[in-house]
Amino acid sequence: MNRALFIPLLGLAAIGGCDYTGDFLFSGAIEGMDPIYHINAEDGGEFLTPIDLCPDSDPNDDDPEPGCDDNDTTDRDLVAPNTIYGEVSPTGSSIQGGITFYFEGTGRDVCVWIDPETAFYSQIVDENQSSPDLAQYSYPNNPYDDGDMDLFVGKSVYYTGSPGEVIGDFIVSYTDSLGNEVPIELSVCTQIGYQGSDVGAIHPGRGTPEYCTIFDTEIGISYTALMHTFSTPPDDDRMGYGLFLYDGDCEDFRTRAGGGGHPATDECLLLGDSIFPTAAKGNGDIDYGPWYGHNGDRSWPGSEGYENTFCTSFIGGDDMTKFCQKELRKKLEEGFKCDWEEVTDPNNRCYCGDIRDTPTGGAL
Amino acid sequence: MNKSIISFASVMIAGSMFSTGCAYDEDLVIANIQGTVVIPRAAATRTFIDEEGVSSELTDVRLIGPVYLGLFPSVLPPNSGASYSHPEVGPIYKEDVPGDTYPYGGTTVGDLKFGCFEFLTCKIVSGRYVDFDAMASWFADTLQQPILDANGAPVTNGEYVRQTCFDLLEVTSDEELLLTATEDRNDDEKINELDLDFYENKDGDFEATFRFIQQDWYWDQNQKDCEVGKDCTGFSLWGWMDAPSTISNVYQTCDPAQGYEEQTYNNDYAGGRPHANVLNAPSSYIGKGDWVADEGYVWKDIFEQPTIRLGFEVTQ
Repeated sequence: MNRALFIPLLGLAAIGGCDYTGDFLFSGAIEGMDPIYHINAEDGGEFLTPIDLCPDSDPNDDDPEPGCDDNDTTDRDLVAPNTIYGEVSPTGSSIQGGITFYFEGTGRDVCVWIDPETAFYSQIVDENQSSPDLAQYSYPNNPYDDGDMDLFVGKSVYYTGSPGEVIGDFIVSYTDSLGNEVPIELSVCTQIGYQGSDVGAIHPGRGTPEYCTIFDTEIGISYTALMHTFSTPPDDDRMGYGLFLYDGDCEDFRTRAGGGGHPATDECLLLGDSIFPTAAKGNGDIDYGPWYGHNGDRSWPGSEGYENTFCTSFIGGDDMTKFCQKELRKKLEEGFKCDWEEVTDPNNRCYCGDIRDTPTGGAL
Repeated sequence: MNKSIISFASVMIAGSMFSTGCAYDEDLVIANIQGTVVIPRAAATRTFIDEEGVSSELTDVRLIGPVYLGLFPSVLPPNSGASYSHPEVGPIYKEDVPGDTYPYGGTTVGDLKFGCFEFLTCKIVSGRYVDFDAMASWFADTLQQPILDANGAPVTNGEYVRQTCFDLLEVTSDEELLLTATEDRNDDEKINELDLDFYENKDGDFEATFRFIQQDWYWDQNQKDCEVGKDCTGFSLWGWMDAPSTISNVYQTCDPAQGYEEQTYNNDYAGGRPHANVLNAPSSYIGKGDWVADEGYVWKDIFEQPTIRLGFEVTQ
């Protein structure tokens, strides 16, 4: 090629190169699985119904109040059958993905509680293992089986997305008298960080439940909840989740749903969020839910035991390190090995990490 | 055309394409802006009645509370939503919750500070005390409410206050505390009451310099034929002074549950700090006895140094 022509073409190519999407940086989409969808009620209704864990069973009570109060008896058995499960795919590009659903205001508090796959902890590297609460985490976690969902909730009228089509937010624009645009965040889902409310709302990291109370919801007003896909598990790119809508505030749900009110047990409120890949529907699409009610057969074998150990270990339950040692021993006995970064055989999925990754003295 | 000339021209064209792509003007106008805030003499005056029922009037800068100044899209005159002038507010999304003023920036003249004793939580403002003796005597002699230590014993010695601060906050100089005058602001080679935030002017009022550091400049986006930073209609300056309670001497803008935390032996308290939204929701904090700007000042020239007078006393 003529050199004189080549150089300007090179320049143009360089400029054109700036117009890349960066899609290669994102996890690939799962064929046949939607990255964006909307959940309706089990009966096809538009709104999910907040669940009352204290159904009034007193036949003498002529005017039973919905929701739980101090004198009510909790029916914990209502949690599992009323939890909604599903999976979601990455979009495969920089486009945002996630799941939405509607619920109507009740005039009372409503708690939205979600639990993305699976559970995550940071390995302790303190060689002295001085704290028994921490020593049990001396075995590494498998970071490749955890996804991260961010929860946003607000009045539907403020939601800028198109449910099932395009993910939006709850930011509306106000123009002041000087003509300057002011973005206003109208999500009413405030999650409090470790350092308290004064540092602003936060979103917990991978594998960790997210929840918030929508206080004094307005009767009959439609609210939209967005479960934004922040990241999917690196090992298979399919993120399972559990979802529960509670008729009351989240602290009350935490206490009544079996966690004893201890935040460390949040992971145990909705068990089974690590969903085993399900066969195709027949038309080539993957069955990714939503499924209404807990079904242990739908979860990855052993995942619920892992979640249980993770959260009960904080309150004197089984030791996480012992669980991991047992898992490794069992795999070896059965002739399997652990796959971490990519699951080539479902029998090879391990919830604990590679013990060889444990840092040694001076390695940090 | 000569081949080398064509080649050279091609390189120049390609180069100019790259360089054009980098020359992006963000069109930001940012500046340190300042001016003067004037507090009427009456705002620094209080009538005291002694045990024998004899009243006396005292004017003192220590009665001047923290002054909050903000820059807003516009300011409404008195009786346009509040009895006093008030910045315009955005949409109201919830009943009983005032609309946000969405300020462009803000500053204070005098900050709420932790006074190193639980007794002083939400009662101390920087730039009001020459030294620690002035602080101790103000509460003990003037207000007749001496500072109390952790055991409930009265503290009348300024040096004891100072040493307590050094001990609690782990500092070694007054400059680190910012509770007293430490800078010779008027260059008279003395540290005295003339080096506080406010000083008495020739009219008998009190005035101070305010500064907005690295302030983004906002102007009317719809205005034509004007030069930004020179004669375009800009933001409006507005503010108020939070007067101390005449009973407890605490400030309404202070949150006593936040700020410095002390948890040693028989001490378990917070040192207080300003609420986070004093400029976003000023009407939540302005109350009887406070002094509000007579009107907003509309800024146009970035080099202006306006004077704003907080001359409206809130009486209800």
